[in-house]
Amino acid sequence: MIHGAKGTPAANRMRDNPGRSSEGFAETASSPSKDACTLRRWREYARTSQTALFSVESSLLLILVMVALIGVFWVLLRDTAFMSVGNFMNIVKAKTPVIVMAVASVFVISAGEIDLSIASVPPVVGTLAATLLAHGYGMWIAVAAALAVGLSVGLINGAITVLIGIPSFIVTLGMIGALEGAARLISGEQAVPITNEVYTSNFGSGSLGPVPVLLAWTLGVGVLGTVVLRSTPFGKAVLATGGNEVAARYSGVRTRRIKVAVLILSGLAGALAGLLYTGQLASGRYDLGGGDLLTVLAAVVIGGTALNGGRGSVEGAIAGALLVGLVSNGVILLGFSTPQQQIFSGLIIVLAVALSGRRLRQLRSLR
Amino acid sequence: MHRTEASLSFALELLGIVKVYGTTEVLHGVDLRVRPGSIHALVGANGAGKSTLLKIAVGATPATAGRVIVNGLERHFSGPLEARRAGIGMVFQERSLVPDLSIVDNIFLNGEIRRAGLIDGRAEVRETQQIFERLGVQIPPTALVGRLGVADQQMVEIAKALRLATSVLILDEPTAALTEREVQRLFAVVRQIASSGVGIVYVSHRLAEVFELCDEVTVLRDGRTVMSTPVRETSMRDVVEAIAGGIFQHAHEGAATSETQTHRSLRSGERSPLLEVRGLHVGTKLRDICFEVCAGEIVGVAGLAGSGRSTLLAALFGVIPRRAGEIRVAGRRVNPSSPAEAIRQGLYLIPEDRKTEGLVLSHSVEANVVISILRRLCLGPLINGKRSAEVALQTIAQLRIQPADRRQPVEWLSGGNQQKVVLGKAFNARCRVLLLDEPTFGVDVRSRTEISARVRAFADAGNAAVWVTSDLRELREVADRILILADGTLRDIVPNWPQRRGESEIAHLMQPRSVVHADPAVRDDHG
Repeated sequence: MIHGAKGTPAANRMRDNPGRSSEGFAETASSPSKDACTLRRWREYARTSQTALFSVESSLLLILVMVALIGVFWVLLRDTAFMSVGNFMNIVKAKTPVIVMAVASVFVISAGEIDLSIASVPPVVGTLAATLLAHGYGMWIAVAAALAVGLSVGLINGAITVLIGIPSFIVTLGMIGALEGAARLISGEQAVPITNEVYTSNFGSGSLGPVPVLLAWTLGVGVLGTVVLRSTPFGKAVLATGGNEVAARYSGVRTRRIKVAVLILSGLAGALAGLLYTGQLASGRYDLGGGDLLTVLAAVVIGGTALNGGRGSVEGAIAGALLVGLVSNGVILLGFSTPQQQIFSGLIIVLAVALSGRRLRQLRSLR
Repeated sequence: MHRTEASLSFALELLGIVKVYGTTEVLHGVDLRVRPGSIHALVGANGAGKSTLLKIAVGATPATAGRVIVNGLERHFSGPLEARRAGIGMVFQERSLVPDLSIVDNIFLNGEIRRAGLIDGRAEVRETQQIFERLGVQIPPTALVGRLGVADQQMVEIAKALRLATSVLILDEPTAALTEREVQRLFAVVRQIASSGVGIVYVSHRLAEVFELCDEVTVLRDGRTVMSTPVRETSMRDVVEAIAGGIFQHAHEGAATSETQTHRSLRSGERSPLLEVRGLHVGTKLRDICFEVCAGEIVGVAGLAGSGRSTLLAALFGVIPRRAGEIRVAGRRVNPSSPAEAIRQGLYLIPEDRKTEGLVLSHSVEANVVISILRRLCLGPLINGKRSAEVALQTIAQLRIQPADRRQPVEWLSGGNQQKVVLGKAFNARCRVLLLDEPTFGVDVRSRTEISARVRAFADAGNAAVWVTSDLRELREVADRILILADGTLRDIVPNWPQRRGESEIAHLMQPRSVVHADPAVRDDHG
């Protein structure tokens, strides 16, 4: 009910006859039915409670799904440590790199592009940073090199997409191969251990006062992403570009710059995810975060971001990533084998996407 | 299903149609009677209930109450397929053709002629040729639809509907995208169809067409039939009044004041040119265009499709590159290479197609009207939501956008209100020179008057506008001077007041001299 007004009977009425909706309300008001009044108040509430300028998908349903899932796992896993702060913290920590990438992907997908190479950046960055640290360079050098790699990847993706006009889907698909090769080359296909404690503390095991540093990274990236998407000219320009590129351009939005910018953002997020993975594992490996691409995209879509652009939700993507984390965590604790767990996670993801956002509203309006 | 004596004289009767959506009654007992072989105009402002009524006629939605009678038989359509089987065909305003398929494939889509389970292509081509012959159209049936011009696509659309429309053919604003000459061709086809005994329902915002083409006219207002009469027994003025109700008086006053203002501004003599264009060349589409637009002036551009009219605006707005030429805004030389630059220099384009070029349809009214001024709404790095809401509410109030809800996605608005949103965007951007490309396309009479009044007020405030349209009558109403464009060259610039040239003379000048134009694929887009 909280989702915008679209798809509700009231909205459909308005669509068919925009000029006369007020009369419709008046009729409802004059009828003595208490139910109708309550319903109307709910609709009003649903409309006014939308704080975002653009009709961003509400995450309420997602939260309900999560609560339900936690409930199910709680019942099933009474004898384990599932229902503990420590376990939930573990889920957040494990998903921090995915969350960082998902937040950036919300921008890319909202702008009507896609970056399939995002999850291939962490292995390159991770092995590069680990190798630099192993050669005695300091943390800042490693971080700078990592971000430089992320920036270059994004810039190359963006430049080819915008200047040559090849769809980002193809460009970034090709980039995956290049990055995988690079990661193997840098690491020699060996794990590179990291002994720099400043590094592992900042990007993994440390904490900011009482807050684990990985949770701080999640919160920081999440808040920054939300604010930038919702309340800055850049965020609005991203949504406009994805919503209708020509209209955005005719409105003075520099759409080509926006596209390059979101792809750079995506590359940088991939680099940060690489730093967070290596910090957590204290080693750089060429197979870091295998299978993350699907998880990232699933998180974004579950969170209510439209795959064809124009509508995005950073909070939703974070919730989506946590949902995926929750499922795999619960399934592991239930004692399923890794292959079984993969099948199960896949099914849950499809189910969540099917139930979330637009799909559900469409189903509802068909009724 | 029983035949009644009285009903036999009508191809289609919609009697006492009531439609309720949820709790809103949008049609309160509408009557529409269409005789076989007659062309029946259905007119009314946006939101009057035309679309809903047509949806009921073609079985897309059921009526809440009332009767649908086709050729004397009462029908209860449960879906569009049944209506089609009953002989009702419709040509939709939005084209429903697949550009990558051939004409034949489009016409027979979902209704293929089969022989032994396979599509009988030859029979389909034969039948298409028969339909085209009947329509007097000469297009090769195997050509790809995407290669055709707008007018020919329209013909294919009609042919498609006609294959099944044995009783009633509904045309929803069929001339909206056509030029004067193509309109005449369409009229000939429509008359041809009617003479074969098919009843035609003709929906249009252009009343002149109604009076030229139609036999009868039914006017809807606010979900009621307010007029239904043979065309020869009524006048344009009466029809306009029936459509607009009380609004007409108001609109007429507005037009009158704007005329006196035109007088005044023209008499005041020396005015500074706000937009100067010198020696503008664009590819092969425009050659040596020179003109200026003064502050307070609306310059109309009259041109057929292919004349370079849209190219002119696109070139000024930095959408397409210019080969040569000088553009000055308020005396300062500008050279926009992108819309963003053009907007900074005080230009703003109201594009031809508001749905694909003017608006982000899925976004709210607010998001759309502030998109060009995001930086101005900022406090520090963040957009101030309150300021944004204020701007949106002001825009809605000023332009009387209905419904007055800034959160409403613009895709739910009617055509006229959508165009007001585009206009609001331009005004908010504080442009000095407004470039309007067919701004009243698909807009109802009421919004049309409001839009021209707003643009006039904008010009009166010391700004300028260039208004492109193929509707000469509209130019007569809005423009101070008319620039005539044909074959990419400027034929003439004529003052609209005092009237020096008649409409027919202007229309004559608009005709291209070369025969190059014969290629139907040449369209006036700037791709």
